[in-house]
Amino acid sequence: MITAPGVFEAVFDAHFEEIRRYIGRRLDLDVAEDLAAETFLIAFRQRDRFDSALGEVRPWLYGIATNLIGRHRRAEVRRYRAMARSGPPPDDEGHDQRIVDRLTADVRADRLAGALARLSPGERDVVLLVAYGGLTYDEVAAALKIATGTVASRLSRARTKLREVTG
Amino acid sequence: MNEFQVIDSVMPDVPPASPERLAATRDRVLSGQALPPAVQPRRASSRWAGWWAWTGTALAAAAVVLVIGAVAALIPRADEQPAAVTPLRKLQVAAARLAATPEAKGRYWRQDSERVVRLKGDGYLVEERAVESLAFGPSQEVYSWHEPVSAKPYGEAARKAWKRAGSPRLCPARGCDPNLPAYPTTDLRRSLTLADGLEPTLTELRNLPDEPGALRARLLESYDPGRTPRREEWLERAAFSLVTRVPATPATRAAAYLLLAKVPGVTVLDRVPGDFGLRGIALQSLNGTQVVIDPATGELLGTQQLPPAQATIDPLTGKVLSVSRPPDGVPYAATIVTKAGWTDLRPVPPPGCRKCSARL
Repeated sequence: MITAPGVFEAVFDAHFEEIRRYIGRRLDLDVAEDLAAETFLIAFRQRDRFDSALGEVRPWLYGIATNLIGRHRRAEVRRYRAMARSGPPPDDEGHDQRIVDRLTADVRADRLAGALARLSPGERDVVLLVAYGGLTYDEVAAALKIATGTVASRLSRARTKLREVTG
Repeated sequence: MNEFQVIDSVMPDVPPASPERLAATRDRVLSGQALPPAVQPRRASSRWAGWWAWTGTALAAAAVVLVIGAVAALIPRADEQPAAVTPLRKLQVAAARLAATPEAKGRYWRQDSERVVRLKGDGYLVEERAVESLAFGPSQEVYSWHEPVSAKPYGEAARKAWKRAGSPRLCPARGCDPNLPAYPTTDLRRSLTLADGLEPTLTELRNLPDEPGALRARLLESYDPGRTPRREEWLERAAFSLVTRVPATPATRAAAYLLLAKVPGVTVLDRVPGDFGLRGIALQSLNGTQVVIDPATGELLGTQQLPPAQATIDPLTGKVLSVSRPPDGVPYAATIVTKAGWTDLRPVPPPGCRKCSARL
């Protein structure tokens, strides 16, 4: 049980950094720091409601984080549009990024940011939970409390839009 | 690579949280304290919020009707399942970070480690600790030494057994052998030997390729099947040496990680067992050796040794058919890197350390 002594500490240690990273890749880092902490504070307060028989901890945390990001949708889209105009921000470990770019794909971050800005909020949530969080369809469904079929349809639509950029 | 992997690879990442901030957040969350107010976005007025809520409910209800019919057709095929963030993917990111790391300047390359081994001696477990250093200088000098530090019973049961045995002095430890307080860990003149027949000069080592395929091809130029029948084992040994004990460039070491990850029988793990303090991504060999890498920087944290696995290997293809590992897969030895890199300080072996420096 997540309410047992020491268990929530283990949950924090195991997942805080990845949740912070997920939010930080969608919003400005100063906002992300606060929202990551708020995610875990909410989880801490609701830990007695978490039922491990109904799902895993990671989707639950990603769901809380995604709901919090939902309060900042316009900021997120503004950020993508700014990136699309000027390329990625300078503090993004750019050199590392360029090497990953070279190793993996001939796709530019600014074009991808533009494509992400054009997705609907629901499509963007689903795509980024898969891309950044590595969640499966079922886990995304559990995180967002939607049907797996809805996840599939949003991903299908989003992929069609993204293929214009990713090739 | 699918769209999701492209997004993960191309979109900007964030630096890790500072330890101070992380600790403060952890304390605050675990004590259930309210957070200071974050920057809140503007919200719609309550009147409009209510309108949107009712409209949203009505639209959602209508959408449910449409979605129910579409669900069956839209369930993804098995081959469309998105890839999880696998240990291999984490290794690739760590390797990219290492490849992008500029090297410090210096005349000597030096690696200091702590060696810890837990062995069962006279009926109880003893933990032996030693410090080890390996260094290369600008005029082909090489330095290496192993200096025993302590030997103590490990764990409460071992301590009681040791007391029952009369608390004998345990060696090797500092002061145990005044005639040999430290000794070289390797044949110094072969310090740059990566595997049988592969003995690059320091210049050649520094010019090895920084792409896994090219590195593999360059290493295999020195492979002699007459000396070592199993090519992949030889390649694994060469790549292992490259990442653990020589001054290869960060980009070459990064390529060697990825090369190692593809060697048959090597597995990539993101949870490292044991309590030697090594926390990171591990490349685990069939012989039980784990190379542990810092996911944040790609730098080597150390190596640790587990009991070897039993593997069945196809003699014709070299493919690993099955692997079984002892259930108590607890590491019994580790080499923990405490410092590695370039420096202008000339290494000085400990007093009494004989033949601890030489020329290549």
